[in-house]
Amino acid sequence: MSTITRAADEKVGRPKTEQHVPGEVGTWVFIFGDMTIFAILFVTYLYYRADDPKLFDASQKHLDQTYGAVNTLLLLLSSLLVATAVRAVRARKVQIVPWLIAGAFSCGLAFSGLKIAEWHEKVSHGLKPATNDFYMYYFVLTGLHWFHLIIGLFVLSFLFYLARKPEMSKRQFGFFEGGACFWHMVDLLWIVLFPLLYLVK
Amino acid sequence: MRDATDGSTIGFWDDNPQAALFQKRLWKACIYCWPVCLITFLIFFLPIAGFIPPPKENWSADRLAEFYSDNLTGIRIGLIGSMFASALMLPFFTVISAEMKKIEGRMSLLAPIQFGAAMILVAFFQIIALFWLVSSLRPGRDPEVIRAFNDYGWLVWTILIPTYSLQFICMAVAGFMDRRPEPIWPRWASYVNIWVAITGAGGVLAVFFHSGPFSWNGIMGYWIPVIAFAAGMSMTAVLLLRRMRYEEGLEAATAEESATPAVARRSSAAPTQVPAGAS
Repeated sequence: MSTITRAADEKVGRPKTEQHVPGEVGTWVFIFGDMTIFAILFVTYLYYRADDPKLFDASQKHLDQTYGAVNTLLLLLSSLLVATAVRAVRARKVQIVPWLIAGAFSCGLAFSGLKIAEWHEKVSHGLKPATNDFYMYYFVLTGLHWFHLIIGLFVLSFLFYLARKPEMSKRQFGFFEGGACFWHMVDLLWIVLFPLLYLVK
Repeated sequence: MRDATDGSTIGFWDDNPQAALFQKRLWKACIYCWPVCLITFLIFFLPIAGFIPPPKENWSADRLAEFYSDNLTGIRIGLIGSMFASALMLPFFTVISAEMKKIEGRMSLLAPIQFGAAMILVAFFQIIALFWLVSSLRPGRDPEVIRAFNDYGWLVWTILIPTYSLQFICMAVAGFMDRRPEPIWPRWASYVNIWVAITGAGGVLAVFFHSGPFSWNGIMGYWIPVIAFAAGMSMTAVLLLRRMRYEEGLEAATAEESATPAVARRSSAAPTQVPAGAS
């Protein structure tokens, strides 16, 4: 029976490629799917912006670019730390990996804290999603991004747990790479979001 | 006959070949309920009822009352038709749960959770069609009342996401659990299911925004979740059919194996013993 099962499998089995894709191929389906949704949102934002550029420009002046810039630096730093961590795992220098992941996690946490402070400041000045279209997009886009960042922090916690193991299996390393790619996506989305909301004139 | 690690339907079907044939056809028919549902729903909803694109969330009550009174018969026929069409989702979702049960074995949880969530989805498809029918029932009544019932229907359509997401998450987890040589949901399909589960959640913003992309007629509130749902379920329908073909192949191979000793013993009678499609 078992030999027959195997023979039948070989018949329908797909060929395996030798090229290395970081993480599982499936995680990329998810990442590209997510980025497509954000791309559609960005285009929608620009479309509505083109409808009423005066309102968008005037509202944009109330945003504090310092928050945006510091947050961009924080995420870039965290991405660098995560990328270094993946390289360290590959080079089998595992002692340093938990520290790198913890550093990236702290950057993410700081981003989240700054974001909440920024939202709080806006709302206390009476700038709410209902104020106008610009603020609607500002809150929804940054909110959706923040939601992804929080998921990313959970992912990083899991990577931290994996990093403390003395030896990672191939499958676990796949998760590690996939999680790192997700974190890079969070970073990348912010790098597009920051100029779109804070800088575009 | 059933290979425990393979979890195929061999041995699940009735011993009587006639009954087994009927069971297999029923199984396949339940899978095909999905495309039939999708197409008939689209026909009743789009050209007949005119609900695609939906009436806008920021329309005044009078404008909306006009939308209903202008196409009264079409809306009534279209909604009744879409009620019957959406009921066809139930057989399809039941096959999904049955396949999940094969993955999980006797201590199955995901299969009943998916089925329960599917029941809620189908039930609400019936309920919201009835609410829209109420909107169309008495064209002369207060437009605000017409709008309230219409609002209810569209808010359910865009915001009734939690159980819908649960269905896709159950499918994703079952896909990750599937350790058989030819899983129903390959790992990429499980990631697609997670993505659909999350993407649909954008609809909840419809209660905050009456216009723009997040309203119930906007791209995030309506188009992306609807297309993602239809595409995600269609993917699963194709994968279920693929699994069925695979198991039929296994079954044929097993039949061939049990027929082989007979070939050795009675070589002259052998060719008639091998079932068609085994070679």
